[in-house]
Amino acid sequence: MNTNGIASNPSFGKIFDELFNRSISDIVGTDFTSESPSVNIIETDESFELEVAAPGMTKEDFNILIEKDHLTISGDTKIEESENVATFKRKEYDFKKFSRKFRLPETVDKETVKAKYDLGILKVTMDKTPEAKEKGSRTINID
Amino acid sequence: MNTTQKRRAHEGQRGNRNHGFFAPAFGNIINEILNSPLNEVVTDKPKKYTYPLANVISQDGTFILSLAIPGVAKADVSINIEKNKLTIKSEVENNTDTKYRLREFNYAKFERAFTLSDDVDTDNISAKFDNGVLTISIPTVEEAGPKKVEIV
Repeated sequence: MNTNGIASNPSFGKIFDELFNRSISDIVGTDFTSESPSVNIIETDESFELEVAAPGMTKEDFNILIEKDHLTISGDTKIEESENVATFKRKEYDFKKFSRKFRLPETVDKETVKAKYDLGILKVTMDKTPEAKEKGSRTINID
Repeated sequence: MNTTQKRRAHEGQRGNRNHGFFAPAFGNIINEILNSPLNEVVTDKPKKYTYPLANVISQDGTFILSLAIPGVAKADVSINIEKNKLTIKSEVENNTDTKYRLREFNYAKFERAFTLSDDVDTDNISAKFDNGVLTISIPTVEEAGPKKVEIV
């Protein structure tokens, strides 16, 4: 994969490491562009927090939809003129258009879903239902 | 609805729920295999840190490198140029108390290096960090082309 100027370098010196720390795409020679952002889901006693790693967007580009017990997060970015002019020497990601769907557990209170976009991460938080919260952490006293 | 149908519907629902609890959409597997280092694919070890993805465009004699490192603070990222090697790294300790239901990314610790070509003007490399994208502008110097000597 010749990038004409900037080549991705493995960060380790040894030849063995070099081979094993490369992406398969580097070795095989196919360019693979990631088009679906990665997601983390964090659970606390009170809530669920879903983090979508979608860097380089603005909050207007996102669409969050709750339909029955499914949560769909999609992104749609307007392509800037300047980007069409530029030539890609290497393209490993493109999150301009994506959609990811999740089934919500019953313990989620759908009325409490909130979202925030910061540092390239879309954070969707949802509280657990009061019943689930109670079940989550309860100390039982011994009589 | 008779009892059998009811039971079937019920089982269907339950089956889905157990299996699909916050289940991510299928499709990231190929992504992950092709974009992660070979040792992570070959071994069964769960992936600890994410290798940041990079785009490079060439525009008017300048290379623009965009590294996707969402969730990382500007202060935690360091960019180093040594000879013709550009290294970008971050070293943040993870909060181990967090309980993850699903973990597809973790950019706390990473290192990615790029080899720059000889015509890069290393003194004028600049960087900015916006919405999880680290953009590094790498200008090139125009090499002196063949010079035509006029015969007087």
